[in-house]
Amino acid sequence: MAADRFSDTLPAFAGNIENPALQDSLVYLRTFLGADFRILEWSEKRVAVPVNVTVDLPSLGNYNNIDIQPIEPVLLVFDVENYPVEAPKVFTDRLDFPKDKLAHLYVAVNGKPPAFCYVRGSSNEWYANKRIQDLIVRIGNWLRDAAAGELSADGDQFEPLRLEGYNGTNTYDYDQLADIVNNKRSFVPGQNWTLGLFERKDKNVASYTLVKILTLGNATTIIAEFDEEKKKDKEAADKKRYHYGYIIWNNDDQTFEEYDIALPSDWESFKVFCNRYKLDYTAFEDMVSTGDGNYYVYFPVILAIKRPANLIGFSSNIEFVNLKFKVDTDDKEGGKIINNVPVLFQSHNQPLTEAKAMQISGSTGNFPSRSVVFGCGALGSKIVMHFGRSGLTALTLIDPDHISPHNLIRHTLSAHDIGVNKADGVADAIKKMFPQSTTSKMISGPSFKDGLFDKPETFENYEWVFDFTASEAFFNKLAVTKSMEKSQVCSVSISDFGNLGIMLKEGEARNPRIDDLQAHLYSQYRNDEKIEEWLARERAAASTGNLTVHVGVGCNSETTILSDEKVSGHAAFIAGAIKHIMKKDDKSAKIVLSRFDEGENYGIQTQTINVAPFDVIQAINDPSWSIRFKAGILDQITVDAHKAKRKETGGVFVGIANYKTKTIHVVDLISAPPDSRANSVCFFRGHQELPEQIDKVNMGSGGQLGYIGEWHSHPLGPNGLSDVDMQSVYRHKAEFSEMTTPLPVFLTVVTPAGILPFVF
Amino acid sequence: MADSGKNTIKYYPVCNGDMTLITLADKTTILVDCNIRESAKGDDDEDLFDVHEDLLKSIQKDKDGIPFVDVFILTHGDNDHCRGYKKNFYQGDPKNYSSTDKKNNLIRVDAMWFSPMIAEAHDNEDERVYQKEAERRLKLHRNGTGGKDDAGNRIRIIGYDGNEKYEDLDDLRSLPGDVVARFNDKDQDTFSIFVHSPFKEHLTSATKDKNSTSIVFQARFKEKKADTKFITLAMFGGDSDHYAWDTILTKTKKSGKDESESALDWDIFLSPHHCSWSFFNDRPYVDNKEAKKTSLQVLDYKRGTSPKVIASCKKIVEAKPNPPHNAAKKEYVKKVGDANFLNTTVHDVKNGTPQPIIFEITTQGPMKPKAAEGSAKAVGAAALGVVNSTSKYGSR
Repeated sequence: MAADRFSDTLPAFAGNIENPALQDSLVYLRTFLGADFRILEWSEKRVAVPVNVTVDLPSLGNYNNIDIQPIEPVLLVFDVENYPVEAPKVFTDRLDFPKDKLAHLYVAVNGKPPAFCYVRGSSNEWYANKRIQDLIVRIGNWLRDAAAGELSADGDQFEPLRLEGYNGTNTYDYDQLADIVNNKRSFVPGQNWTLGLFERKDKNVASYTLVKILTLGNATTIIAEFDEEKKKDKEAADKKRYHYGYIIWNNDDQTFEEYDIALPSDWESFKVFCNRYKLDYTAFEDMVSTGDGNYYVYFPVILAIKRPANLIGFSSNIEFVNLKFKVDTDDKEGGKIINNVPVLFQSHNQPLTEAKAMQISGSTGNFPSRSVVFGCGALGSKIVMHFGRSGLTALTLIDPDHISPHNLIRHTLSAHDIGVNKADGVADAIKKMFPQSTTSKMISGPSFKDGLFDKPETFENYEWVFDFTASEAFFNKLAVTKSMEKSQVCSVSISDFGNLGIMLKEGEARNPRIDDLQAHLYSQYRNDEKIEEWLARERAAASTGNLTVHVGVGCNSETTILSDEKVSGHAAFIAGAIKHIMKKDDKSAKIVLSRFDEGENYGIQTQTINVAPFDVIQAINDPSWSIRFKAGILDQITVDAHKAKRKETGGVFVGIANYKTKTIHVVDLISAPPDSRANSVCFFRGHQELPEQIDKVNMGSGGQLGYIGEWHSHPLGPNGLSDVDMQSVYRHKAEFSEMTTPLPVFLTVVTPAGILPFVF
Repeated sequence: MADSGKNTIKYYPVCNGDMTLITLADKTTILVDCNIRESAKGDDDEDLFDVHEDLLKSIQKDKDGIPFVDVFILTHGDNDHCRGYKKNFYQGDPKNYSSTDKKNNLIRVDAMWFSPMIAEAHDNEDERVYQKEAERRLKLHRNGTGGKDDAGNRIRIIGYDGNEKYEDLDDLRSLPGDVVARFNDKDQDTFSIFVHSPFKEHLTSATKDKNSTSIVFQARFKEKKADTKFITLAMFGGDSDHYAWDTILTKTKKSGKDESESALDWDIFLSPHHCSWSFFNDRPYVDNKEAKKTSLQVLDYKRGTSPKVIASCKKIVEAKPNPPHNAAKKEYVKKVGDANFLNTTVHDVKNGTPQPIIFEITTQGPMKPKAAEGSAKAVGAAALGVVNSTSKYGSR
């Protein structure tokens, strides 16, 4: 027996259709439907064509026994003028369609059946690339999915109601309200409702934004504030239009699965709606009618419905229905609303929150609870903005500098920030993105207070320490600071005339350290031509006085020539690399490079070098010096010493010494030259081909690496330097002291007691 | 077009023969039998569906670009169940898979399922080669040779031994009544196979033939690992006859696994021996017109509102029986209705070529995949006939 059809109530369309695209589609439908083809009048500007859609039903029966049938009558509704730019709407033609069990239906309006929400996003955009037959396929698939329980594409989550034809918006943080409902935080303890202060920002648009939730603690202040604004002249420029709004929920944990596509339109239907979802509105009615202080007739009312599963896109199972009441003085009497006042519905706007930013940016999180950033210049400001836009805002930004006009070429901030502290400016830009964030975590300023930098407690809470300063001085300071052993330290800079982005990310417990990574990077000239060429360019530039060779050219100088897009390119890649490391919780050390290529074609390449921890030994004679050996070096000399058995042996170290940090880095070995001689008590380190070898190191590394010291073995002891050794030390010292930058005399002995380094 | 993130079962149209591809959501593929015929015309003169090409498109390639199926289950060695094995699948040490093999699109069988029955009587070349490959793998495992567990060397023995003994390899064996949830060295949470057959008595029976010793199994899908309910149960019967099913029915009920494992239930039933009467009673039909009660009972384990019977055979007509039998079809239709009896040769024919029957596994049971949507833009591709043939124009 055929059930009643909505189309039975529609008259046949009697007009002419002149829209050629619509004519085409109707011709197709006429062929497709044959004798059943009819054009009906839907509204003044719309026509409807009934179509029976064949639906494949699941083998084990329909999901939840939902009444989807193998043949489903639907109505395709065409806009006579705007088709096909405006996609057809598709309505069920069954009056008994199981609409309250299905998501993806639009709220029904004007006594019409509900329409299918058949695409995610804009149906007009979708239809721009589709034909009428594709739409029919799509509707068949929609109904198939409905029968299979697969309509909601997000697993077990609950689809919220689809709203159309709403009247203004209400902006509030879903999580904040869900928290109130879930924890029953009523204004009057034990009740099922609470009050919020809402602002209507545009006097011509009835859209609300939640300012604050009233609590017993803040009520007096809020009421005073409310009354203050009320007193102001209605035309006053600074007048804030405040409304008290209501949030009503059910204190039981009962959940409701049914969809209601008919939202209340007046007080009577509101009460029916509330009863359906077991929402007690008596206290609300009493408040409204005995004087809640609202002086505008319109005010927002938000109903909370508990669903059986989390709402798609939200963190909880609470669905909010956003309504707008119009209650005038005549409408209330004796604690009751006496007239059937109009009720309109609104859509919800979620203010941007960090959680939303994370979601929209596809950031899976594992963000550090707090990080500190030194340097908010061109590179730093851009990386930090990427962090902020990912929802990573638990940041303390430090930069002593202010925005100058020339900074605008490469900085993320803009002209109206000129004169603003760079750290404050960036922090402010991010804070403004999350205006309703109740947990704004951005802190900024020009510097740490004196002494704080070296206090361990200062960095205790910083999971990450970022250095974007491009300052060699700061780099050195960071390398030797003892107060950040637990932090992950990461230094980023740009070199090679802006073409090379370098990220040095330390390992666990600061080993390898940023300066180890730098030395390691230099030593890569042996394996990587591009690194060798870069170091050569740096050396050439240094000799003409253009730049220092230190990795990290300052790009804050007016004279530095570097384009914004190059800084952005490096910043974007490095921000992504950092987030990736956070996501994987990767504590290992790495060097990450991004390299622009301006050859025949413009290009960018990236490279990651993983670095194992260095072996660190204090100098025996002077513990203020640390020797940091690249992994494998100590093993190698131990093996060499062992191989020589009872004879002494030795060799030369390649590396670099830094007086500022009192560190010697050893990154390579040169074995004993062929003219070396040894017996069980003596080792004569020869020099055949040694100069050539050192020169090769020196040239290859652009002067960053060279001879740094020597080692030999004492297979039978002593466990220290012998007199003979000391004579060599004096001889070396005499020579090194004469150099412009004196080289420390660095001698290591491999003894039965272990490897013992000495620095003089 | 099936959803790539879903579990699917694809019944290939291979005339009188079986070839089914089970694809799990994680892309694991299980091929049940093959009947890859040479091109040109088939038995019924229909245009052949290119199963080899479709199979290649449907399975994965490893990091070296070698196409592979995770598991090949040969139910038994009849030609219409293993035709094309030798020519289309790689045999031998997987390390020796060459660039020529790759060029020939040879498919590596990562793990093969093997019934010792095949060893008993191989009478066609494909079966002989399958047997040889199985023996190669068994030898590796027997000798504990390195690489025995590599993809391409894995093997599972299904059922009991015949004359050839493999007791020393019992750790590779699954017996009737066992549930297998590990495929190609990977555990599956929501998919498993219940092994029904072959039984020992079939192997040792004097009247044994390949058909009564087919591997029979039930493919089982759940929604979540912890679920006890199955969302789809598909029965694969090879060429098993009513004797085999009688035993299956009796043994399964006796073990209680009809209840505890839902081992007899089905949503899709691949009709044994290409819709042959042998599932219902002895042949010829004229002498044994009554369907055995046990066979009908097996069919009564159907579930849901629209259980499906697949007849993987040529078009069923009254004349020329031996399989398929119209009488068998009638029995099936009595149980599931005409709309749910699907014959691979006629169910979905496009431009004269039968198409595979595909089911997507949903929480509501097996369903036809969603219909493919077109778009407003179309371009001709290089493979178009028009592009590859001369078009003649002119006034004469």
